[in-house]
Amino acid sequence: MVLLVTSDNEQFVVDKDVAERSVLIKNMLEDVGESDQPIPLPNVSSSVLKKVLEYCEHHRGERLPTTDSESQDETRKRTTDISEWDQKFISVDQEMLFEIILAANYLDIKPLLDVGCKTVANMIKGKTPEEIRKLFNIVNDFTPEEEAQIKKENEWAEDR
Amino acid sequence: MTSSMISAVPPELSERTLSLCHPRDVASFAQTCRGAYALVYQSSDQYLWRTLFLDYPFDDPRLSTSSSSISKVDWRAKLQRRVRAEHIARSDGDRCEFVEVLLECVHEAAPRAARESSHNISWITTILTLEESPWIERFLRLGPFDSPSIKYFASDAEELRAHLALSLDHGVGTEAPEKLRVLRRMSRAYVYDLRNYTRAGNWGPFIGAGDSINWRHVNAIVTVITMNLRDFGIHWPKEFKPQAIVRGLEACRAYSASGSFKRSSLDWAGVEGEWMRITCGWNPGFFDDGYQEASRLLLLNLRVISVENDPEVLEKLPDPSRPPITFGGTMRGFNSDSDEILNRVVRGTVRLMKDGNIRWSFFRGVQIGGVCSSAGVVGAWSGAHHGQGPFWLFKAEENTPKEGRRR
Repeated sequence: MVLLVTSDNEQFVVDKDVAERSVLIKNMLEDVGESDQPIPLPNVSSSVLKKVLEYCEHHRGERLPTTDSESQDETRKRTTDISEWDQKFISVDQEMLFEIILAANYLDIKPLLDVGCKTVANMIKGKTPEEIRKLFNIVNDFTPEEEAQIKKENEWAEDR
Repeated sequence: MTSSMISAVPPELSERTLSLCHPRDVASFAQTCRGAYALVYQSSDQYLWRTLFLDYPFDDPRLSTSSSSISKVDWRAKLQRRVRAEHIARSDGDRCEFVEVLLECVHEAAPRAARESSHNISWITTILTLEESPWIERFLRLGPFDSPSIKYFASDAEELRAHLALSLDHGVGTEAPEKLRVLRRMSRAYVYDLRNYTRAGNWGPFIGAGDSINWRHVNAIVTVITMNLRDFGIHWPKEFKPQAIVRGLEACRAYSASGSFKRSSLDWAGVEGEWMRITCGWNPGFFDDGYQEASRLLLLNLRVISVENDPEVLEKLPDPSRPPITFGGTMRGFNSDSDEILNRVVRGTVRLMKDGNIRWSFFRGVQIGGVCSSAGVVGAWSGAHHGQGPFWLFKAEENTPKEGRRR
């Protein structure tokens, strides 16, 4: 068992093979060896870690992606390829979605990071700039002149 | 600052997300705010654009054998042009640019060794056969380019067609059969017109003292031979046809010719081995079999005689790793080996032209596609007494019978 401590000081006790879905934790455990020392995760809150552990629990025992970049590229290729369970798992509000992405990045859980990034990519798909702004609450800080210039620069992508 | 979550994500994660998007969506994202614009267009490297390009997917141009792509790749510009070309295909637009982009894509197709099938070739095939395109089939694939107003466009379009060898056009539909008939008539008129064989054109499909290729001429040759072979139907088995006719653009890929991997290291052009050559002739009585235009299959066995190695000559070459090769061999008729006219010794050279194309002399021909392509060499023959005509020379596939029925 491994003891994890979140930024808001909550403690989680998890099976070693679940915790080791995180390459960061796996490396830490290897460094300290067998020990009951708690592992601090100052960048992850308890609500996010709970969600992340749900993912790790579900995927425990699966083969971890190799560091071989070729096979990683293969799995990254198709945007829409997210398994049914993962899709349900990632159906969360936007704030949580980005928190999960940040946590997956920090904890180094590549498959979860991919699920998060693919979900955001799918949200952008087929939308106009205005629709994307609305979706992510982005403020348009271009001057009208800049905007006209940038629209021109993006003519290569126009398809309407 | 905004309360947007997406701007709180570190740039490398935004880049990772964008690299999973279609380039068109990336362009939309770039237009949302300054931060997004900077991320997409002002990055210090081309990681995002390279990923978008290769995942699209397109073949990696760095693998290509074409000399034009050796220099540093501008992934962004290349991808933008190709996305734009899709738009031009679907609606319409700058047709010159469209054809340029497609030709670049043919030249940069991955060599046969690198990939089983080429992303570039399947992309080109898809957009050239888009049913909703208002102009591609009618104009680019089947229209005659005889109007002087499209002269600039025409040469590139003829080059593209020469590579396609009518592989997308089987003459089905309401307009296509008649359009093919017109193309065939025009191509024959061009190929058998003695005025198109000049000293300036090196008595072949060349222009500018033989320094560059007359693609109109090459395409006319391809069209004439392809249509002749279609007339023969099943009586001319496909193993005796140029691969370009059978497999379309795939045959243009470098090293797709049979036996390309068994070449000796000096034989960069894949000269050595068994070749087939289809020649067509118009002069009545030449082939004494009653046709006005006749086609004949010849068999050649070629070998390298010498490879240029004079340092002074090599220095001036466009690519010193591909010096001129002098080759020799024999050529005979497929159906009889007692044909006096055709059982003869041949000798010639193959060299890389300044523009990257490969030229075969003695045959006065041009390689279609990359080095060692199975599409082979297209050109013009002439005999002292027998006028001129088109020919198509291509590597014999392994296990093809090398002997016809004896008369």
